[in-house]
Amino acid sequence: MRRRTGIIVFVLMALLAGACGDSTDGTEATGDTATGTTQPGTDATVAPGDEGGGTLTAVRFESFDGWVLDSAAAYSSYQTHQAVIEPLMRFGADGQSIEPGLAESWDYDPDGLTITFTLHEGARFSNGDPVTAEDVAFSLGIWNAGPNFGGSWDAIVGVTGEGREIVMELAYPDNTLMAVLASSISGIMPMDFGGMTEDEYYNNPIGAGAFVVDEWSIGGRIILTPNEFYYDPERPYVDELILDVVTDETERQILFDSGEAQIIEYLSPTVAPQYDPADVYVCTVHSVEHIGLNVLRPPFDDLLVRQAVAYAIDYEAIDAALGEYFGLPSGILSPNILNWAPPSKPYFRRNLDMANDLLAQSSAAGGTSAELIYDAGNALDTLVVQIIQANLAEIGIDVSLSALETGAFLDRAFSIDADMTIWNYGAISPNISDPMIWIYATGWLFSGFETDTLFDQFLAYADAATNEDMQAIVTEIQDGAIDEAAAIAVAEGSYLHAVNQNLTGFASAPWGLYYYDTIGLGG
Amino acid sequence: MLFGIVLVVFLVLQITPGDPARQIAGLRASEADLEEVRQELGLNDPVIAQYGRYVGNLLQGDLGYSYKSRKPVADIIGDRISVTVWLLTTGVLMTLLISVPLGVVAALRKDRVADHAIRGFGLLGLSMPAFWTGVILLLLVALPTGWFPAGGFGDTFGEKLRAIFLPALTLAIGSSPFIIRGLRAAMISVMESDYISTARSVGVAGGRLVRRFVLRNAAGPGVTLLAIEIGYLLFGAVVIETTFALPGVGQGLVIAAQGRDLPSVQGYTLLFALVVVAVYLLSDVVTAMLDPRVEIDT
Repeated sequence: MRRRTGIIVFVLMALLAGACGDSTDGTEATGDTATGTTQPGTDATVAPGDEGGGTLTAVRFESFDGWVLDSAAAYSSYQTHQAVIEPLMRFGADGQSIEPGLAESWDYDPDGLTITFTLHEGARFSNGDPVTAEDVAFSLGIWNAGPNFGGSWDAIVGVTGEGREIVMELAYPDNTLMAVLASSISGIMPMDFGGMTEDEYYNNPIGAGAFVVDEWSIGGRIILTPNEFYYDPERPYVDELILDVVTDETERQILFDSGEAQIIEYLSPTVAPQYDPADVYVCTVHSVEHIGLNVLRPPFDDLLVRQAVAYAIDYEAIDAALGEYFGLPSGILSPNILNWAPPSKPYFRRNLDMANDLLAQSSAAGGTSAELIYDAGNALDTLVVQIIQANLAEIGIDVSLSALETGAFLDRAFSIDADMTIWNYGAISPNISDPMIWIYATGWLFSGFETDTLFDQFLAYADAATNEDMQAIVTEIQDGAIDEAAAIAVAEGSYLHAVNQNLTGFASAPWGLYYYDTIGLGG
Repeated sequence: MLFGIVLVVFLVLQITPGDPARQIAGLRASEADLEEVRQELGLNDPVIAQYGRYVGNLLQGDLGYSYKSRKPVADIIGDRISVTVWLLTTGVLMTLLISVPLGVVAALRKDRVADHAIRGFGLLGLSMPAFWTGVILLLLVALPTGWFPAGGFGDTFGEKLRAIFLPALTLAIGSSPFIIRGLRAAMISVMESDYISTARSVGVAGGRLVRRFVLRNAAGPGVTLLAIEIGYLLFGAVVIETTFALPGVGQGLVIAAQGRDLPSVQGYTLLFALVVVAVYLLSDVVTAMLDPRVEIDT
């Protein structure tokens, strides 16, 4: 699994202030793009009362980033935050819908520029204090101050309310806001950190989620126990939740096989075949494996060279190499998320003659060379880069592979300091705006391609009147990605988890995040 | 020597690619945010100034703060060290329990079947990498019998003992062959010496001869070997703790390195170096105590 880094939207949001007009509630699922989530061996329907407590142990390979919501970079952090510091809403497992969180209902009036939330009866923090509008306002200030995600909530200019009612006043309509509010970065914290200093709070976090923190450390074991003040007395269904970091892949499988762990989060597709297929939970196809071509310097500043690369890649060979959990790419935007739409033209497929013709007409006629950087710790990328190297050699592009340690890789990728960069991304919230923002924030997927057009498209999306209008913009983005070939999707696939077949209520969004409090140990 | 170690640790991590400020502020933090973090941490200062500050803090017992958790590195290491102490202590005990009897038997039965069998076992132990031995023990012992957990560390004494048994055995299987071979060679050498012949001629024989004259005089090289082995065991702990998901300093080092938490990596590395130096020093003292011919220069 790949780290999903933070979404930077403050610039976008600040400029959104100028946008106006009618808007729809972006949370309505279209139904067209939902393909459902495969759940072998699990029953997504919870039967409250059947689970009988017990200890649920989930194992991940990524270290937790700590409790500062804005610092979340690893999926394991988003996953943990939402269990303790619950947001007002949740994302649905279909990747398209938004479901109640701390709020049992909401009413978004884009014309009136207000969102009115009604909290669950008895919504309380784990210290027993009720959740109030003041807490939400305080949390909003903390969210906005974050260097990574700060500004994602700029549309909100005020939070008021009384009792169970929370009213957010908006400066402008924003189709993307509800998805952001349903992600873990919008967790509700008690006002003034519940009387603690900031450091004290992040060492002993309090939330209104289903769990409270019993023990935690970065890189070590996290133990969560039920929040006795949780608004739903039925949940969580387990008495204890243990989250362990186990860096060794073999040991993770042994823990699962021994029954000491019931969930292995984010299985590598390369090891998934070693598990009983009935234990492998295959999320709906969502992740996009792609390469970014640096358009800021030769040889990829030449569109013809980029297009030649796009047609030289053997997508079917990559598909075959990556196995059953991957398929051919359909576009550059992560699929199976609200308002996703395909390109209006066929996506790239291998056409060696066309690749040779394009290269012959380009500034790199006669051949060229390029460096492709990748994260050496990623088995998937390690495989794909070798195929790409062989493919491009066939048209006279000599690719040198640079295997980098993760940190060094990220530094060079974000600095757009390589000819070619391979990466894999997915969303963290249920709206296509999330991948759009990610592409913007990474300089068009590490290619350095201009993002002004995308920015304008994002503004138009945020302000669009209907879902159809939004999807038309998405198609426009997909088409532009084909035309410019700055970043090329080489495969799209599913995130995977190993899930004990006895568990009930396990349901993961396409990007692999799920909620612990709905899970029971079952029989 | 310690200053040399500190210097190497500091310099190696200085030349490690990557911007610590980005690590702290976040990958998508603005340049202004990154600059603020660099100023705060003194990363813009000359390297020599950073080194001086680092050494100054070390002398006060301050290993710095983790980039990830904001906690003192000393506290982070402190939380994990007991697991590694358990592992090393049990591993050393098992190594001794395995290697001393086998070394003695191999020496006393030199060139006989038992000697060849023991040396063959040693060769096998040496040939198997620790991660492989660990996985085999998990698959062939822990999973089928259920006697030992497949990973992690328990809360009670009994749970800890069960959890540490297979990891310690893995360590012992890897380190025993060195001790067996060293002890065997030392004992054979001692048994061929004049004073043993003299002891035999005055009627000292059997177990008394072995215990009082042979083993005691052969123990010196064995202790030195054991000290060297403890050094290896410490680094072996990185592999073993990863294989068995033990939350010790070895696993902590791996996770800190993966997360590019440089102050933590520095802290762990320094700890490892200090322990190795301390163990070697201790071995010299013990050797001197066992063998009056050995003197320690002061």
